[in-house]
Amino acid sequence: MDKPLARTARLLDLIPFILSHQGIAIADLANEFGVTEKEILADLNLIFMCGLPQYTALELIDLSFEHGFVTVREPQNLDKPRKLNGEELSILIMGLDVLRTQITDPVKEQLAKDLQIRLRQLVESATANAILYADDRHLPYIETINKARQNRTALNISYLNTSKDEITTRRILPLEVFQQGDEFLLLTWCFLSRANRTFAIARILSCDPISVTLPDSISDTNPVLLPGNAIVTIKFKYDRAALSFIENIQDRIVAIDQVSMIASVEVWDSEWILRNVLANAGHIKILAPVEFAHEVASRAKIALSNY
Amino acid sequence: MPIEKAERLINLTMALLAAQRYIKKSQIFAIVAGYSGNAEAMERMFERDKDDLRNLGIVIEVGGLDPFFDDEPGYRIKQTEYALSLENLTPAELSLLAVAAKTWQDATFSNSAQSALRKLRSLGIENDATNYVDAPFHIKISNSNFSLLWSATIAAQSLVFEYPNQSNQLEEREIQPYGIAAWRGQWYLVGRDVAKDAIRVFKVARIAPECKVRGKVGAFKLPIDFDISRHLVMLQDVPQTPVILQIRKERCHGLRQKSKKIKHDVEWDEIQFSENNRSQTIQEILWYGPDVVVISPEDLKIAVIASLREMAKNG
Repeated sequence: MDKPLARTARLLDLIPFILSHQGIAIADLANEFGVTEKEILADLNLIFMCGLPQYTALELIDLSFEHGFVTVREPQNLDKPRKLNGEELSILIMGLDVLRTQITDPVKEQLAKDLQIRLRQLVESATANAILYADDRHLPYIETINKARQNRTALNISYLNTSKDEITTRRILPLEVFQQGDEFLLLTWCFLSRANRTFAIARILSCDPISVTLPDSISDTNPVLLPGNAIVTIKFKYDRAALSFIENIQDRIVAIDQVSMIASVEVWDSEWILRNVLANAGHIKILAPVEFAHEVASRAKIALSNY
Repeated sequence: MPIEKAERLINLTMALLAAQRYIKKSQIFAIVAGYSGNAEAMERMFERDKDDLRNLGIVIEVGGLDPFFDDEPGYRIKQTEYALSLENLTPAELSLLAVAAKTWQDATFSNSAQSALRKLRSLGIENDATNYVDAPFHIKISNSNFSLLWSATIAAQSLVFEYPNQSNQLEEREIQPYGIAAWRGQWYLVGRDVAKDAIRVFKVARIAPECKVRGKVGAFKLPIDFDISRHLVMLQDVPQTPVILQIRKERCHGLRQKSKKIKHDVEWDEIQFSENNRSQTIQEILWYGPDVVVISPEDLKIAVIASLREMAKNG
């Protein structure tokens, strides 16, 4: 969208927003619309000149913004917000889908469902069923985690480390819950490692609030990379059946040739790659280092001896 | 001093919104502040302005002033087409919508989410902030094509991209995107493959990076009965199969979490669970290597043994 058009959109949205927030500070208005105070002042000055044909004092939009606070006295016919556009509606409908995957309260679930029906009525009929967010995995402890996030309190968790096949306990301060690829992740401040750590929520086996509050100074962004063992580069060949695995480890791939289907990944946890190769048996073949290939084959032989 | 474009567009919007009947172009030039210059210049200005307002989603109606005469068309904006109408939205509903918008904190859609929220908050309804504070989680999308796929789907504009075929060779496809869906965190584009004249499903992560739009906005219409969920095989009901495994004591914690223990001895526990995704179950079993043995069903056991044999050969 070009600049004058983006500005027109903002001007049309400013008037009903101020009407519903009479007396709002210019600084807050600028923050709300993501522009500078100088730009908002220029917008208000421009709105002051707009109105209905004849353009006498009676037909102009009337507002006051002296002393840093804004009030609309006469919005003329721009008192209502513009209707939601296709992208905005889609985002809300899908956002409600997301909420519905995790809501446990039947009243809220029904509320979300009814709202989706109402929003879908605003979309062109054929596109109403064109977007969907579905997930059958309910996240355990999501409410406890989010409550702790809001109150900035700590949690004691027991966590399943699938690579090591062991359960550990940690004291964490939950910072952010997000979905990346097919995993729900929890970014935390970990008391044990005194650094940011990310945990897969599906592998949290217990979660109990404890009375330690997060100091304001702890950052909730820029997670620190996990330290640990030396980084190893593993080169392997894969086939179509392992494409999902390749897609899930995009950020670890350091080289890939999609034609010959050979990729290299950097890993700090050798157990993680060994188990993944086993899990994709027949679809991933380790080319280097050769000791890794031998280890996978050896585990497969031991597993076969169980039958 | 010439009037700024934004000011002219606001004045035009207000004039067309106020119109009880269609207003002719000549009247618009005469009464709306901002139109100046010769007739051709004003014509061009007006054509651009109409396009701009339509790009903002404002519906400008065009109609004749007199149904019996083929005269110059007139223009107006209906208040019902312009304004957001969510009658009787309650504070609880508004709060829920605010939380729904917050799931999109990812930069891809944060602007649209913000603007949707702002429009809702302009309805003058008190937010019930005590009930809902934040979304249960935020969606982060790192795929570079996603924004384009989404906007082309909403704008009904064709897409051209390369996608791996059965032999993993990239093949150019022209698709009319009908919808976008997420299932367990993976995104799928559903659309009509123009060459094959059939609806196909594409995994967004597999679409090659240089995806482009082709042709005009609004170039096609969706089938009236289109429902994306019918095209996603993973959403269809699949019968559950009981699985019985032996797992080594104190091991295979991931499998233990979803199973019930039915027997045990000194070295092994026997567990049972139900599955409806065979390839995922095989992967989970293989993950634990020598610490798990399949007891039943027989076809699962055969599949796991075959995979292990394949793997054992590669040492």
